[in-house]
Order: sequence, then structure tokens, then C-alpha cells
Amino acid sequence: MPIVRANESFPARPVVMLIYGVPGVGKTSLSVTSENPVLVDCDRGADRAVLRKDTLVCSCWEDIINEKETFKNYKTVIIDTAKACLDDFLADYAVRVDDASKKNKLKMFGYVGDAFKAFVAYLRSINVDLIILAHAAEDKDGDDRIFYPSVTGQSKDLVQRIADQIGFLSYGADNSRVLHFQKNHRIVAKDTARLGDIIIPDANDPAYQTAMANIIAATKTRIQERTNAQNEALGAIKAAEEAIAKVVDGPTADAALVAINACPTADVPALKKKLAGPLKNLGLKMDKASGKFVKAE
Amino acid sequence: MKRIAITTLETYRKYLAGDEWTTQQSVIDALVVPFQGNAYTRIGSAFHAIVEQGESVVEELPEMGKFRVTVDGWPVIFNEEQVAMALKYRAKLPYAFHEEWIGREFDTPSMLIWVHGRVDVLHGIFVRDIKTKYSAVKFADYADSAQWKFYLDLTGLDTFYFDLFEFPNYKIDKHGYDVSSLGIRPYGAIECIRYKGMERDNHQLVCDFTDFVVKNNLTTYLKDRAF
Repeated sequence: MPIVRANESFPARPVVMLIYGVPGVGKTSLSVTSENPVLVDCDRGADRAVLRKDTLVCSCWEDIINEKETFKNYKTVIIDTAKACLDDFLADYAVRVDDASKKNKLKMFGYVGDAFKAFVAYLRSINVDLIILAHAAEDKDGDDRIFYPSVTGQSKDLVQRIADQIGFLSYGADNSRVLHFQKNHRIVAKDTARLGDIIIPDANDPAYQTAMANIIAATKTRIQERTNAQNEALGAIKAAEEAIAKVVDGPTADAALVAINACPTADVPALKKKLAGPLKNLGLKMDKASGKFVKAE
Repeated sequence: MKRIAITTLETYRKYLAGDEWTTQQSVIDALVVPFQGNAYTRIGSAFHAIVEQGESVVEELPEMGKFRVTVDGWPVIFNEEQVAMALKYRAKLPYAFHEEWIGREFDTPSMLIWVHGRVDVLHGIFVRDIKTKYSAVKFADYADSAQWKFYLDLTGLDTFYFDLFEFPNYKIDKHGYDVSSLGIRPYGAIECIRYKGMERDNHQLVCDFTDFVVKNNLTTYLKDRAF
């Protein structure tokens, strides 16, 4: 395992994307525009995709896990669909191989969850991105239609939790397709990378050929930026706490305040509370005219 | 200025959303009846105390493999695995701030009101909340909650995590404050991200809530903000 030095950025990590939409909207076609993909076709719908890519046609969970080594040859694994893979294949597998799952549905859900998490962890370990496709289910709330990924109960919770991005693919007003990552009252969505809603190029547009690859690349960049921002924030807080620990007089208190103000705004009140102790003990107060700490008279 | 806790707003949101366990009376009770706590919440507080303060709050008992953590006079008994889990989680949060109060005023047609809450963990640019659970976790319970939206709104940050730890097979009547015979199951964090319109949603909920309070003559039960 390579060491990431303190002054280096963490490398981009593999991501999990959950894309859902109504049948025929082009989920499979969009997904295979990712980098070097293999489509795990659990739904027998691969032949409808606009672009044909390598496809693993499977009819049970063993068909998938028996190809684990094969996945090392690809950059992206696409599960099509989540419901067929988890609710049908994996649930059936759990009941066949796990005694507890035969008798107890809750245990079966637990087994399915653990097995799928292990599969996702394996893909991460070989640096492969995962796209999970799902049909859209809908509920009505008064006159509103609310869309969400069609996966059953606990499997739905699992895929929603592990996904970095959840996007609802639909037709926009001008018949262009839009991948909605932005949460609203009508859809379930998740936008860790803050990509917003993305207009998908027309299938005849050359840009379409790499549409999903570009989305995944942008997701990784944003996640990496956020990790770096967090590391910078923690570095600044560490420096501020060290500066507070060194406060012995006005100038060191001034230095501590400078260090505190270099921290994220949300952390500043907690750090100022920490500074208040030494200020009180040393009898220091802020001189408003000079903006410096001085001995209270 | 009157004030209201984010937890009460969450109770009100659940009532509006038609949650089967949250009635109009639940909202009124949240305002009128002081929250006393129970075994569920005190186990959570004790677990959080280990995360916040480390081994110093953990007292090893003569009985092999049992550890006591006392919060506000309520002792909770954990086993070694559970204590280790809390300490491992704590180790992942260097330079974190715990139990930080946050708040700001909201201007509504009914009144100006101070909305406040206490952040479990403020860790750099992330807000985290520790939840101890006693039954299966439903993603929607967290994704739909008002809690994370207000916490992000009030801190100005963008990312919130629910960190969930389940005590499987816990029964309040059987186990009470002693969970040492049980296991502990950590879930992956549930990540919640600021979205366009989040502040508007929060403001609308506060407006609806204050309207509810006025229409039901409950204003007198709102506490004043202490300055």
C-alpha cells in the first residue's frame, strides 16, 4: 500500500453511481459511455442499448461472482438492474446457501446486504467504478408524482447509502435527457460531488460517446477536492490548537487569534471558546483600538 | 425572542409527513412536556461520552468484560467490543469539537424565532451525528429528516453524516441500561449533502411550525432565548 505523504493529495478513489429512470429513457445506453465498461446484464435488456459494449449475461449471482477476476480487465462495472441483481439473484442465492436466510427474511436481507457490500469492496480494491442501474418506481403525493429507485426495502437502503451519486434520468422540456443529481421534492437524488443537473448530449453527438466517463471523472475530482479541503481544515485547526496551547502573553494570544481565524468559519466559535481559558488566566483582553490582546487594567 | 429546538421541528416535520408514530399530540408534547430521557437516549449519551472524552469516562467493572459509563447519574453497562468500537470511532475524529451549540433567527409571518440545536460532532468541514439504534435502519428516516438540513444551514457547511451504531436484539424491558450481553453493529455513514433550495425548505418548515403554534395557542410554551 503506497504511503500518501502529508503534502500530497489523496488519489482519486473508485466511485459508486446509482442511476435510475423509467424504462426506455436510456439508462443502459448512457451507462456504457463510461470508461472501459462491462455490463452485467441481469435484466436481459443489453440488446436495447444504443452502444453495444462487453456484456456479461447472467441468470444467477454465481454468474457474477465467478467472473470476479475478469472484472480486473475493466474500469467500470455496470449492474443492470439493481432489483434483478439484489432482489432476485442475490436473495435467491442467500436462501440456497445460508440456512438462517431460509427461515428468516430479516436474516436473508442481512446476508444480501453483507454479500453485496463485500462485492462493492472488492471492486473498490481493484480500482473499478460501479454503476448501478434501477428502474424508477413512483408514488403519488396529491397531484405530485414522486420518483425513486425501484429496489426492495433494505436493498434500496443499501444502494442509496453506498452510492456517491444518485441520479434520476428523465426527459427535459425540449426532449433532451437530463440526469438529475439535485435533490428535490419529486425525486430521490444524491449529489456528493455537487454536479447539479446534467444535460446529456444527444446520442448522435460525439460528446455522447464519453458522457458517463466525464460524469464519473468530475465526481472523482470533486470528491478529491473535498477530501483535500477537509485535510486543509483539520491542518488549520491543529495549528490553531497548538497556537492556543502556546499562549503566554499578548503577542502569542494575537498569533492564536490569527490561527483561529484561518480555520473554517463553522469551527471558529469552538476555538475561540478554547482561547477564552488562557485569556482569562493571563488577564488578557482585546484592545479594540489596536486590535491586539493586552493585559486588562 | 422565542426559541425552538431543531429536534422539535423534526417532530413537527414527521407529523406533517404523516409518520404513523407522530401525532399532533406528539408535537404538543414536544413543546409542553420536558424531555426526561429514557434507556434508549441514555445509552446513546453514554456511547457519545466515550467518543467525546475517551477512556477517561469508562470504568472497568469487576465482572469480566463489563464497563460502566455514567452520564447525568445514569450508569450504562457496555462490553469490551462496544467500548472498543466507540474508541475506534473517536480515533477517526482528530481535532473534532463535540456538543457545540448552534442557532440563528428565522423571520416568519407569525414571529421572529431563534432556531437552535447542538451538533454532536463538528469535524473540520463536516458535521456528524451519532445515532445508537435498536432496530433496522431505514435510509429514508435520515435522508428526509430536517435535522441535517438545519445543521448545515446553521453551520454554513455542506456535508453531514449520520453515523449509526445498532445494538441488535436490544429489548428495553429485558436489557434496560445493560447492553453488555449484546453485540454492536456499525453501519456505513449516511451522507447528506446541501442542495439548492435547502434554506428555503427550512424557512418554510419554521413558518409552518410557528403558524401551527399560534393557531393552537401554544405560544406560551415556547421558551425565550437566553442571551
